[in-house]
Amino acid sequence: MKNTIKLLLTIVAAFAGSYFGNFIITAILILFVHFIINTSLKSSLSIGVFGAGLIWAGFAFYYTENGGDIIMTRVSALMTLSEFQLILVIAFLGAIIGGISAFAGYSIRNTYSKKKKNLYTP
Amino acid sequence: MNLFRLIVSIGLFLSMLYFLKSPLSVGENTLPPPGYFLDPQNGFLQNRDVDIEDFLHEFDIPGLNNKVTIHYDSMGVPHIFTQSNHDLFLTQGYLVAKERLWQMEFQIMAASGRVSEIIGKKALNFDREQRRKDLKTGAIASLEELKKNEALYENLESYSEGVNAYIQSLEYKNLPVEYKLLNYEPEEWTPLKSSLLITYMVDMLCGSDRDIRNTNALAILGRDTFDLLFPERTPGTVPVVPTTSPWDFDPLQTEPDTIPYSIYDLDLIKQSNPDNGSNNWAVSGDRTKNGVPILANDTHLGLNLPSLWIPMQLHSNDMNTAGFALVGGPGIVIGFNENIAWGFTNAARDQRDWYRITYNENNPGEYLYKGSYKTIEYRYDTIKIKGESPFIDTVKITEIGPVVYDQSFPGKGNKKELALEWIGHYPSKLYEALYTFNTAKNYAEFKKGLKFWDAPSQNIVFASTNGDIAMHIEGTFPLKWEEQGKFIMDASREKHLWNEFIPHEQNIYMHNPERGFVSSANQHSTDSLYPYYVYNGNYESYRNKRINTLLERNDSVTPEDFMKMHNDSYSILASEVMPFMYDSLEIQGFDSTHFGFYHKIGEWNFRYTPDSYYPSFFEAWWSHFKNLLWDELNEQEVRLPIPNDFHTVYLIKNNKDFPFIDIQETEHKEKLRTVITQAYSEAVSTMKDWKDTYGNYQWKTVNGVRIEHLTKIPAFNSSVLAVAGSGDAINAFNHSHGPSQRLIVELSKQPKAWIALPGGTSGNPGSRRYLEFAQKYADGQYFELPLLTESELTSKGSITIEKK
Repeated sequence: MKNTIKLLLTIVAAFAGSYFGNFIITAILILFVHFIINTSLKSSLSIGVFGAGLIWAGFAFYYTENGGDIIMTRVSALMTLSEFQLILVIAFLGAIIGGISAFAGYSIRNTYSKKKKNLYTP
Repeated sequence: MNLFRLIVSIGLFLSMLYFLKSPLSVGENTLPPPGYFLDPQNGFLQNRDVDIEDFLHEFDIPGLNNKVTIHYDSMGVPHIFTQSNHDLFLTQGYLVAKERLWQMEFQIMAASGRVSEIIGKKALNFDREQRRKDLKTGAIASLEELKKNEALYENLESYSEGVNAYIQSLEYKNLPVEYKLLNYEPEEWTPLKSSLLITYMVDMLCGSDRDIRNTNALAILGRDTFDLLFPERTPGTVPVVPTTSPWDFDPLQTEPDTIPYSIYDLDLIKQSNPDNGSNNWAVSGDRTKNGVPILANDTHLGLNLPSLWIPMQLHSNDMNTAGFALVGGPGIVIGFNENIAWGFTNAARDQRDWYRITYNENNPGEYLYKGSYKTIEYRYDTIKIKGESPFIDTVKITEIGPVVYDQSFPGKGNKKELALEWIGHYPSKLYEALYTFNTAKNYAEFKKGLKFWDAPSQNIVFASTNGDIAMHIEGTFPLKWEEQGKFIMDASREKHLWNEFIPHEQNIYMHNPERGFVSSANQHSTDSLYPYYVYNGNYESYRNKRINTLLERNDSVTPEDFMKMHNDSYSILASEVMPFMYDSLEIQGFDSTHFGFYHKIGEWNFRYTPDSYYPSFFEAWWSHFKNLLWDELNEQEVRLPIPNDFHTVYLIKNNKDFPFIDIQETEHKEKLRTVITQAYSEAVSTMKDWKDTYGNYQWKTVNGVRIEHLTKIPAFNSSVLAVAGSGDAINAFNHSHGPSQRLIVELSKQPKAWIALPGGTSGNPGSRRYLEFAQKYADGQYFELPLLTESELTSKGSITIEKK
């Protein structure tokens, strides 16, 4: 449940950050989400990568399909990539932003939290 | 452990932000910051196409005094309706900026030598040259002149206000994609930038001369050979305005002086494209089917993207004009209104001269000017370079102008230093001329505007609904003695300087001629009966003949005939020289490949059609022949001029034994037939090479006409256009050079106009309107540019903006 909420909030952060700001705002918002909601490092990373990657890929695909086909063709040719490869690059960039921001958020949250002690340790 | 992880993660986070917001250097190129550029909500994908209704609803223009209506017609051309010139030019500035902001600013960066700021050191030599030519001085002087006419200056201010209103509305996501790619932001627009744009056009159209090459040729070849190869008139030339009666004025007198012989081993600065040229003509109602004048114009310049011109209609209480506007200046440059139409070709008069500077041997800070020593001034130009320290260029300034060629520029520098005198340094009233054209109601009012036309020198064609047609060769022309300015002049001699100018009323013109038409195509302005010295080293001699032939042949012309004429690909050069060369071939020794072309090319009709290979073969043959013929000139250690095609044909037909026919590198002496045959064999090899390289040698492939983005980024160019035409055909296409617009106006009671444009209205490479007109243009088709009235506007494609 916590992971689902965290994923939803990550998606909202990636959407809102990018829509109302830029990639820096996106990164800070995702960091904040992962600071607020604590899960394991592994799930934090996965949610960050997946949530932001999905949003960036989705937007790239949406805009390409809604009038962005010409500029996508030109810029992908400029970068000597296919259009699909360029969408993958955009998604990858979103995933990197999401993953690293999530990692930072998780790390800040867990810097001073102590591990649960082993019940059998005196 | 947790602390270590925190440090690592924060370090990683900050590094990521830094990396994504920084441009990436890859070799000599710099890529834009990936975090901004690839962000789908803010980066390049926001430069996507939007339909015109959505596009119009983005218009939000502050500063209007009354309501304004903007209508994009079914062809995507904007029509602006306002109640005052203030609102008209403010809206024009806003609209042009919205469509073409990057282009308008980039042109100004180029004019003022600031390209290194945005693309780095590779533009440094270009910037140094631009600054040394000193376009800015002329632009500042022109602006000061403009300020004397308050109403006109207000037009420029309103235009700037509109541009700036758009710039201030921008966020990163709305910036044109070129700003995102090159990672910089637009600056404030000023009237000075509109003035610089004009000086830039003057440089483009007058920025060519043969002074250095002529001086070398005269010194090396001697007077007789020089005059044989480079006469000022070859028999058979047809001027724009032939003298039909004695010129009705007392000309100013000149006193000739001597010309210093010398050799200049210099790297030349960039010359204007020799293919810059144009066609224009107008036919009186006596020779048209509908009994009213028809005017045509097509201006041959670089085929650029975004298109050099933007078509539009401008309507206020003071004017109602449509046509092509320059991107960065108010008003219409080439166009028509309810009463008149006008257009241009380059008059190619020599308005740029070079002066040798002689320094005082005892004091190098002084130079000889008009016989006495003057102190040299120094200007220190700081040229910012992207990613590097600025470069400081020291430029010497003389009474004549800046010393462009000196010991540090161009290339490795030169011992002989040359100062530049050109018309671009003088104040221009061009905007005053254009505004008068925009609002003129008849020939008399149009003529009032002509007196303000100073540069670039143009053949200005005119037609009116009153039935008048005219051709005026306008500009401010220095009064010169025979051959003054044809060679490098001497700054120390007063007679070598620009001391006086030809009075404007003594400029060449033709009004309602008996033959019923006027025409020009960059040929000689007039014949030798005109009492002033007129010179240019690069007059055109074929297109004008073809135009006149077609006009003389038809005494009931229609606009459709003019459309066909614009697209005419017949080459008089080929028709005159190809049969002569063909008959001169020594065919003994030909193999089957040689015979293959030989049997076919004789069938050619001299039209440069895109799917034919005959034009490719002729171009290869003629080019190899000229290289062999003029090898003596090409192989000199210093730069010499080469005779033009028209004179080359005249020479080989009338001087079969002249010494240049011999090929220098062989021991025996060749005859003309041998040279023609050798060139033929080389052409056969070239055809084979083309086939190996391109897969075929059709003319469309070999000529490879495409419209190129100003950045030269291939992905932003058009694809290759299959167009008919060549440099000396009316439809003058040559690689990425050709008709930058086409306009035909029928001067009926309600004038009707048709246009074609290589590109589209939008400057956004992501918009469908970026190349919207290109295919029609390539196919030789036109679309109507109507002078709409407010009652004809439909709600579809329109927006009305109220005063705020």
